[in-house]
Amino acid sequence: MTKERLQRLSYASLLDIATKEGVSVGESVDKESLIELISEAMEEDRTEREQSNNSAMRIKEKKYDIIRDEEIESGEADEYALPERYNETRIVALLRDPLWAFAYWDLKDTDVERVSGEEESGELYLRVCEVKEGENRERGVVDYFDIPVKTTDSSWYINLPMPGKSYVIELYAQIESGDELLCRSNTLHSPLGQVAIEYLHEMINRPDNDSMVLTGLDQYSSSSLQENIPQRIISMIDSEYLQTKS
Amino acid sequence: MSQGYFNFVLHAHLPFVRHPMYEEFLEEMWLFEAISETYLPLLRVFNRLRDDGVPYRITMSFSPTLSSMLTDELLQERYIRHLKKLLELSEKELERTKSDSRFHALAEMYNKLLVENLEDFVELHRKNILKSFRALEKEGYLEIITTAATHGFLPVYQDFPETVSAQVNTAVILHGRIFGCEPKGFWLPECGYYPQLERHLKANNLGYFYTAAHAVLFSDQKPLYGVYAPITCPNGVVAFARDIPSSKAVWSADEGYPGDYSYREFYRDIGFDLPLDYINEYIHLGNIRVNTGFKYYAITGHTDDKRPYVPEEATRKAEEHAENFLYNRLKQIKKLETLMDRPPIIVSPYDAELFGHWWFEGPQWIEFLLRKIHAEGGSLKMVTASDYLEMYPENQVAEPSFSSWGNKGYAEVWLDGSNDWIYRHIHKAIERMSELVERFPDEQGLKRRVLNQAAREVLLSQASDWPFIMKTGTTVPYAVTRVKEHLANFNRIYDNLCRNTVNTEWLTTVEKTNNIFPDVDYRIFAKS
Repeated sequence: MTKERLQRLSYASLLDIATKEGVSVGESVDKESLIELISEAMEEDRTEREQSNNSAMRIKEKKYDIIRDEEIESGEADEYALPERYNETRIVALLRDPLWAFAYWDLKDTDVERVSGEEESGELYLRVCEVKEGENRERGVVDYFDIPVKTTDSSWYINLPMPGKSYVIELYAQIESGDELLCRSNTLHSPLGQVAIEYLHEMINRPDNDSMVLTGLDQYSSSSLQENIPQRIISMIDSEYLQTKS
Repeated sequence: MSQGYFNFVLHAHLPFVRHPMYEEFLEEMWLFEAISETYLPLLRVFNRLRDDGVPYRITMSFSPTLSSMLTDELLQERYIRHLKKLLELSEKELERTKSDSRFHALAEMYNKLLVENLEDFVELHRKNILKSFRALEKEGYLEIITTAATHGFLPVYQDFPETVSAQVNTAVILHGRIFGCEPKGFWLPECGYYPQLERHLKANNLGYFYTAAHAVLFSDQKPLYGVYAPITCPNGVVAFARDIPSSKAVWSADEGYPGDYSYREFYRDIGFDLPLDYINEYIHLGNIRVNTGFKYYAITGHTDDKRPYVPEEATRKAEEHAENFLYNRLKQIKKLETLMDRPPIIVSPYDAELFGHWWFEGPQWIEFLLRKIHAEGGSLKMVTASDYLEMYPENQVAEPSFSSWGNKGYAEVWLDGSNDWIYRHIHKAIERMSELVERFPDEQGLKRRVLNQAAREVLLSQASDWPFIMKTGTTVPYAVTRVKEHLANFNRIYDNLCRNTVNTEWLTTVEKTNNIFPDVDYRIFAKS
């Protein structure tokens, strides 16, 4: 937000913004100093956001960059209310990268009532199951682990134990008669996140070989390349990590 | 025989932003800036090269949302109004800078550019610049391909195949309507790929697509030629991978060409630099400062004390950088030719808006590069993916890996704490849309209109731009509003159909506002 726009805001509004930005201000701070503090915090935020993006994303951002008063609220979003829930018991899983998945879920009112009506109620957990490709869940579970969640939760980021595996996420309730499976997600197929094994051996054994040239990455070095671990080739491809070899 | 091939790809995309209910709308400027700073300058470069007898082959993808806006009469008229307003400002600038020769010369440059843009847009291109791009395609200079209908990031919809199919099919139909031909290839939004996505491409007769480098490097088999030859997916659709060194030369903010200190500084714009009472008629609502395009400073360095922009110096740099780019590609193919039994293909895709909008001198750089490639004599031959596949129809069969060109190479930009809330609602809307197709398999008349609008709203909610903006933090409230608006419109239609009612007046208003995809058929959401 431009300083000029901050100038037009009341002292109380500035204090609100300062709180949102996590700026701690003393009681006696004057308006000018407050504006200065907010501007600095916003600039830091902006820089941090920008630095978390790779080059392609930073450039893309510029397409939408016409104002610098990012926080202007149109108020229109409130006109378009979306339901908080859809009153159905389901869980959906999305793959974010080879090691992270995102799951969201919802429970029917009747399930919520039933679960919360239990004496030692309210306990839910996610079961993250590694499953065998092509097998149904009952026969195909290789391993699993549980993540306790609250009845107020409705989504979770899940750290997958291994890349290159298939996973199903299940939502369970702990009720008096035992644990009850409430719903089961779609199957996620996590990619290996590395080159095929024959390729990997070539790269590890001879990092300057032809295979490396054919990746287009032979002229770069990076901390991960120093270790010559092509599993981490991704950090080299994500060009912020690339440094031309000197 | 050429030593190597070069596939230069420009991906042009903006989300559908059209607000007829408002006299002027801030985010419509995204389109106006892109027309002025990227699309018109690119057309000038392409036409000049053609007129000078310089052969070139470039692939351009125009997203269906952008194509729809570029052919929309309301937005065409608004663009002309926007240019006229800026011309008025440029007259003021000529007056304001008359005693300072450094800035006055720049004010004259901007005045000339605006006059040229207005003349080109109205007289040369008759307000429809896509026709001019299409003419270049017919003459053999361009190959125009398409991308997902609303540029949805497809990996987050992989368990909703009906929507991926709808995104692809709607795009192909719109491409036919606008360009009068079928696209041969497909730009995956954000290079977002998941295994077997290609079945939707094959179903629409699309022969190839582009991916991030690691989609091919991490494929299920060792790619014999690395990223320097495409791989064929098991179903026959071909994947071309992005080359990293040529991308990095242009993209990187620090080491890339656009960061050169002689180039124009993007952030120093009179919309922010000049007093409000001078600039207020040319900014949003008179008090929200916006970019005007009048930028008088060079990047200079990591300092706030910027020196005035010198266009001649920047042009010299653009030429130098084009020379350097060509030199490095020639070096690259020389190294590669010893390792391959066929010439390598270097695939260099970029967001088109980088050239001109962000990197003001980008179109000049392209012109220098294409002239130099021609003058060099043919060691680096420009081809499109289709040209390449005609010469080399047989390629290694392998399945690419889940990937994107976003941060860390996967989905973290579009699936993040800032934007993950949207998927619960979008996925539900997709399911409900499919349910509507089942309930109303062959509607006509008013009900068909309602169902078609529902399909448009579901597609519009899926634009990758909205979660991207939520993550990166520019104009977040607008992105949130857009997702909510489309979903709320859809939900209203769904609820009305459940009650067997239709509010015709409301429907007409929404149809007029979100008038994209005139040929949409709601049954594309049928579950297979």
